[in-house]
Amino acid sequence: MSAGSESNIPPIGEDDLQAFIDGRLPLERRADVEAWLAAHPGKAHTLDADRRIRATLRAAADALIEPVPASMRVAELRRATAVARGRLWRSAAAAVMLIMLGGSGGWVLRAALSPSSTVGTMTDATSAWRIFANDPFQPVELNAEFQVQLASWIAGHVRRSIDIPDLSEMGLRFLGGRLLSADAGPAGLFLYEDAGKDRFIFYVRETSGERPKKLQIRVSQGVETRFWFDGHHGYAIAGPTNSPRLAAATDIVRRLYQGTKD
Amino acid sequence: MLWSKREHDAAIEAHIPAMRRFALTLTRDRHRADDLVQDALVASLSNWAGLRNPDSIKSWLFAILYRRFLSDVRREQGRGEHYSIDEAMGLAIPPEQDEKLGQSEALRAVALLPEDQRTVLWLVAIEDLAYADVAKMLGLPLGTVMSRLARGRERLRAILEGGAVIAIRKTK
Repeated sequence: MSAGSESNIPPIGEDDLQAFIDGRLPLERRADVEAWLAAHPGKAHTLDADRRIRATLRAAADALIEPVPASMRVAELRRATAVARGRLWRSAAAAVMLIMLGGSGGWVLRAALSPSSTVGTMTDATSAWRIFANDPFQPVELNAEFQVQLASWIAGHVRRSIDIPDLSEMGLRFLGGRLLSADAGPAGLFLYEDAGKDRFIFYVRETSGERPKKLQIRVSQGVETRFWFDGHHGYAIAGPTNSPRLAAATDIVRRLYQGTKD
Repeated sequence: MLWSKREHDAAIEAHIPAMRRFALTLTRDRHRADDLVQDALVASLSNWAGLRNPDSIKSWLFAILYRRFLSDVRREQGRGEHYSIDEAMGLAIPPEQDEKLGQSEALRAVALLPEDQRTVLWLVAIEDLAYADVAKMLGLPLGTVMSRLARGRERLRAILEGGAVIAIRKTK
């Protein structure tokens, strides 16, 4: 077989052409592609256009480079995350002590304050919102898909029937829930999210003794907790302060839980 | 790690302008872009150990940013939200520069590409990342990266040279 110069050139593929446009071909291969293009004027034309567009785009992209705002400087981000972490830690430490149990036990919430202070004010609900609502890894143990299982699981622990509130008409999507343990006993947390990514919880647990049925509201460090009691249970809705959804969600849940038996 | 914290911060900071620009091409919305960059930066600061080779800091940062973008998109799709193509994409170019070169037109055309093609084209042609690095970053075979690149260029050419009228409409 005669070894003409043509037959020694590996065939030109689309990858070669892309690399040619991007100036990423080794020198000797570039000569091959150029020779090939000379024989394929149609392809040479489109490649030319692609190279022109590439140059225009790069010039346009250069013009998109802007000075970095102070809020995005690394030092500022470090400071902001350290402050947020400190704040979270302080509030968590003040209200609860967390112990993670192995296996299916889940989380245990324990009041570091005197136990009686959490029982009557539902501060455990506030802490639960702080700790779980915006947890990036696993805010819920069972997601919305397992709504039925979740309801019966929590119902078994808090010893009352659980009807998971449907708050979709007010723009709150149900994400799921989890079992928690508070001083007063097991508690159920149900998590919701609105379109602005703000998160809200409905929280329920048993309570001892007679507590006020009227709605009480506590605002503390960015969290608003609306809570009330009936004969044997405490209920709370918690979320970021100043959200109009808090009042509306509370109305719906109060109505729902008035109609059902303890 | 081989770097002091200060060197590390400086190395990250050098890439923030390009990250913002990439985020803008992904989200096509100035506010969402900056939120995305901030999230990615915070994630990169807390996951410093994840950077094994300091030479690849750029593709490491861009990979974090892109993964964030994808998870945001998935979340939004679950909620059925729609975002519009922001005017920031293209109108940011001073008019006098743009007149002769068609730069904002080129940016608008890129904004019209499907996300997968847009991302590959941007990382290769604008950010000068190697094909193999882009493949690794996106978790794709090299061949897929090359074909997305080729298809992206073809479509871009059709939009720009084909004289197609580029209308950016609000999706809502």
